[in-house]
Amino acid sequence: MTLVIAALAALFMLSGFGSSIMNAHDTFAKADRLAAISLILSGVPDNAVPVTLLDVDDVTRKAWGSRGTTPHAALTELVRMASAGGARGILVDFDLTLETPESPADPAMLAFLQNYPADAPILMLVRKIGFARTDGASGGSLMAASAAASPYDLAAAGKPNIMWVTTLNQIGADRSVRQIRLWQTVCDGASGMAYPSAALVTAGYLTPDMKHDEDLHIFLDWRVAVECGGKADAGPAWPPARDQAAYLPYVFGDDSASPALLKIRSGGRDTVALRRISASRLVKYADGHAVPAGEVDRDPFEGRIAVIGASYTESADVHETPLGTMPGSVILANSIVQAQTLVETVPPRPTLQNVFALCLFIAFAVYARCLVPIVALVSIGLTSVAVLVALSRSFGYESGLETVGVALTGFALFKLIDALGNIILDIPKRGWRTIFKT
Amino acid sequence: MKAFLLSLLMIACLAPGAACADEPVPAGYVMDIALVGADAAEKTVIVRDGGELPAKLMMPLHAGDVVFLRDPQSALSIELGSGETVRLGSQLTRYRVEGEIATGDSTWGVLTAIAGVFAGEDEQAPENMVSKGGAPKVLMAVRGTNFVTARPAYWLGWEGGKAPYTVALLRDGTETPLASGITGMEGTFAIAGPLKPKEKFALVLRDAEQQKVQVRLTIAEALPDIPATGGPLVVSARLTALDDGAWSIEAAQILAGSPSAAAKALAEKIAAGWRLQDPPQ
Repeated sequence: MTLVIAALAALFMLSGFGSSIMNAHDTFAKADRLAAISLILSGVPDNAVPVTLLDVDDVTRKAWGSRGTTPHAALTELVRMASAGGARGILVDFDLTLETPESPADPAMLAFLQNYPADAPILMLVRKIGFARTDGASGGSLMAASAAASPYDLAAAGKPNIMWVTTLNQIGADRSVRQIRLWQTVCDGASGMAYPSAALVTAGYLTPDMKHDEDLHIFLDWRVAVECGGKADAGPAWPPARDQAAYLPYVFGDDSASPALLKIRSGGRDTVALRRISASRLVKYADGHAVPAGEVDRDPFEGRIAVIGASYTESADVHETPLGTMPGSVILANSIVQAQTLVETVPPRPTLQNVFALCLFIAFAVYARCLVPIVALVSIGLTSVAVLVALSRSFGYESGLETVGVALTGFALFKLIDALGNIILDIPKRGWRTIFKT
Repeated sequence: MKAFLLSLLMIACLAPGAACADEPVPAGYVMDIALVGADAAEKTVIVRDGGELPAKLMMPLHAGDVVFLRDPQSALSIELGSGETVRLGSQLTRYRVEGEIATGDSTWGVLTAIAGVFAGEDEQAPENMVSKGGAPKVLMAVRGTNFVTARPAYWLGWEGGKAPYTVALLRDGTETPLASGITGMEGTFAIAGPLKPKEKFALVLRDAEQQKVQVRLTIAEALPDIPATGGPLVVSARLTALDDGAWSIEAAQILAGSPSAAAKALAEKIAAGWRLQDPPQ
């Protein structure tokens, strides 16, 4: 029998099939893979906000003849189009600071912002935030040091439907993005400015049933008071999410081949969670002037949030995530689709979360005791995914991850102590030979 | 394995968000319109529910819609499903739209996505953060921004993939071949034209099977503020510790071409992915 097994193993090994099995086993055991599977199974929640990504890709850059800064006139034309098409909100995910302070602002964007109508959709512009290390070039932690001025500040000032936001991701030690920052405060003495993320603005202003515009401003003022002024109180009730970094329950990956991803119901009709359109399809740009490529249907914009973002190579804005590598603009689109879940899901009480983790740990221990190792491993994996999906839907993705993480850590400790205990108990009978299998 | 897949299928169907229901979605979208002659005059080119509609860019088309052109000099293109494009014009003047765009949330789509995670098809956490699958690996590069100073040529080392290799420069959206038929796993590649501060470009490495890895580079205005005492070896080593390794390619450049055995040894270590873990304060 041993010979037959050895021969089969050798056959698998030489044919390469064995390494595939090992890869799959390895894949299944990694936390990010489990997270990816649970995210795929979770799908899109009912409160998802549909997004259209107007993608400044390599094709667009070539068509527009762009080198360096993407032409602001072309971005303006995209904003104009989305606004006219009935977009619920518009986000321009481009750095609007200029290469040098002397560079003139784009006249088309300047005029557009100056005349932005009060009844136009919320327009989110990204504020570039500079960071500095707390103690020197290479040590210490990074802290927000400055918010870069933009030549459009004056044009946008005083317009309640133009907001400056942050689109910062929380990049992990392995350079993977699992979390986004819900806000970023930049202090200036005891005062300062807190910039909301696009997800926070979406949850506050742009979800169908929620109107938290005043709450959002109260919350941002409170963050300034806490982070810059040292105030310490419980703060306003909204939003329930209080951690600056929130785990992002990704909905879709960087699937540029698919023009539409994931069906959802929004505004009483079926639509797709993400539409991704190359910006060059909509706007033509030459000699400093941008014009529409033709009459554009309202469908890509009506009731949706338009994200004008980049995926072109030189942007270098590409990140590793549990759902694979993706441009920052797609991460942003994910955060907007999941805005309400991210910001408003109330986490369970710590006691309840501990009970969940304990139950899960007991289930893992029972699997390990009663099942053969490979079946136990698959059962643990499947149970983890199922629990992650269930808890994420009820209490948020972060709570799901923490619960499964605690249970898996507990299980690893259990296996370690169990193995050591067996060895110690066996020593009186078998002496040093206890380290060998019988 | 069959039981395992069935279990996944059951979970996929029971998961509230993973849609197993069959709701109609568009079959495609109008992507380009160039109408001339009678089409430009009439404007209507789509038949839906017995009526004629004008076409607009990005307009969704549903199964049963018919797109037609009166003038063969007109042109209209439709994107269907996963990027398949139908072009109406002189060769095709009438097209009946069928099917549904794949939105990735059918049971099959969910299973395919899960299989993709298992197979690592979607670039899950590659070892060196810049390559995927069996593509060559540039271990001294990180995903995202790699900082280098402006140089006339860059040295790059890699491993994996199948020789011969080619290297190209991707700059301003245009790919220019730099070298081909490379049989080794390193090379120095000259860049034509001056590089400006903050300029971004990429070196694209392809192996014989056309598996590629793209190393994105950004020209730094200056080296980070690190003590220069100790010479190029110490500076290079210190550079590798900064910004999660984003300066490792620059560190290798400082050492490239040095006749010193120690410099060569350190350059080889950096090319193999070595980074200083605890930067000296």
